[in-house]
Amino acid sequence: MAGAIQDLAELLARLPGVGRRTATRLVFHMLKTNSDYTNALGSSIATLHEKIRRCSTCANISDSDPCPICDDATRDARLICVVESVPDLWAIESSGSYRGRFHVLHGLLKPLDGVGPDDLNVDLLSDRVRNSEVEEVIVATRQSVEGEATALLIKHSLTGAGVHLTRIASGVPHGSELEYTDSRTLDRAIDDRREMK
Amino acid sequence: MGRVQLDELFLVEFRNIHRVTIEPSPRFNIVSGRNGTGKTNLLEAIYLLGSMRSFRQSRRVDMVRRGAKETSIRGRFGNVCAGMVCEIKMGNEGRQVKIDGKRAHLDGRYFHSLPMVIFHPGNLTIVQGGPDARRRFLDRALFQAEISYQEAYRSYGKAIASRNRILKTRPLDKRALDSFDEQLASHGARIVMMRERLVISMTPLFEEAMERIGGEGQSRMAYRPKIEGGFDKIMSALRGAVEKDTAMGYTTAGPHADDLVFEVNGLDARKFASQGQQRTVVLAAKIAEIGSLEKSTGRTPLLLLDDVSSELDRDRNRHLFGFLAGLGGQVFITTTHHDHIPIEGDRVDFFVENGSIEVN
Repeated sequence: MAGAIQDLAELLARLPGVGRRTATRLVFHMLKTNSDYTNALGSSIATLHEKIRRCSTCANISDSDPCPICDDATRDARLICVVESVPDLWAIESSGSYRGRFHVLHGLLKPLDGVGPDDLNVDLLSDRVRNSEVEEVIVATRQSVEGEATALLIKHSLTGAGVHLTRIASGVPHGSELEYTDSRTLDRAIDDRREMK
Repeated sequence: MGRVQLDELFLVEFRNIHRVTIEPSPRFNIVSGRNGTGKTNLLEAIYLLGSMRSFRQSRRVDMVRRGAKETSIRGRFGNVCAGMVCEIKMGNEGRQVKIDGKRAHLDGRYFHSLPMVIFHPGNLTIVQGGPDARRRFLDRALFQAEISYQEAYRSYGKAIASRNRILKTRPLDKRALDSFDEQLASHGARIVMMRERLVISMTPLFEEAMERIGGEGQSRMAYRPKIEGGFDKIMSALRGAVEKDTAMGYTTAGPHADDLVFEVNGLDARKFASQGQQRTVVLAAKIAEIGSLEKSTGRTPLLLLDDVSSELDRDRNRHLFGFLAGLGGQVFITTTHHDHIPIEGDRVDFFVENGSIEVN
């Protein structure tokens, strides 16, 4: 007996992290709220795809192209931080201390999943760096085999661009105890130690 | 020196065992029973607790008793392990490991804290088999000897699988290939360094054991990396092999192609040693592995001997048991008859019959 409730529950259950039970509970919760809420929710979802743009400069995703970060004249245009995904960009934004711009790759180099250099926005980055006042590119891909390979890809594609290239530091998380830190992280933290000023 | 000591083992639905609890001796445990009764299953279960893999290269489904859904292996370790309880549950759904009742994160530290050495008839491949058997011998010891080996090994594996995929894809993506070379070289250099360190620590122990067991002078073991040297050498070798690798469709050089040689009287034991000498080499290599693990982990490994007496002649047996008596560790030995094991005192005898285990 398919009906409106079951239809919606089935659609919701396709979302990541949402099972059938949760989906059903969400639908019954929506039925209890007034229709202002469900209308707003419905129209937000309905217009999501048409409203969202991919920034033609940095590939960030937002309501506008250029995105608010590229459009913000108070941000330092000489500094670009390269991230793997939009959630990673948000994580750095929420720290509040970074005032440069970004570049979103939308993935990592993963030959085993068929993701090659052309599937990432590396050429877009290279053009951008060569045609602007960028002085430093910070590579903030994760510290894994694929993250490091992607960092190298970026390094190779920026060869001769006359830009200062840096890699995000790795090491012991703030406030954590060394004793409970995994050995690879400690290796890196020792290798990447710095002068005390 | 402290030792890895299993104080209690509890098995449920493991292979032909329905349900059993044993309390081993801290020293010698002799497991006897007719062939095919499941003596080795006991050793396999213990080895699983220490290494999370089977030395028989069995599939997970084979380890669950026929008709049962799930198997559970639980061990309580005393002495330096301070009563740690490790439990493995395996079924169709996968594997779950708990340490002291909590879900475990199995990093290199776990294997380092619970060193175990298995010695079984299949070990003859260390001498007779191909380089892969000898690499496996080194790798298994290193997962326990070096806390960061597992991570280096996995990263190298990921890097080489990625590089090989690129090599097989046409047109060749040169940019992607370059990006993985450095990963391969940096993790590869770590692997070579740790393997060299292990072989260096094993060599004097190996030579001494060869001399004592078989009176075989001029014996040695040496690590033979395909590419000598560290990161830079591996990098240039990878760069130099691009054409060949592209034609072959895989990475031809690197630590995944390294070998270990054993020499007796100056000659390669694989090709020139007699069967008897080859058995001596395996025994000496195992004795060296135990000694080296004692040094790197600071504790005597638990020792599992699967039906080795039948493999060795009288002199070699006498030497083996002399060595074991001097070693302060816990030992499990399977045999077809308990009289075959010349150990007095400090021993508990277990008798296995069709999935049940009786203590004498």
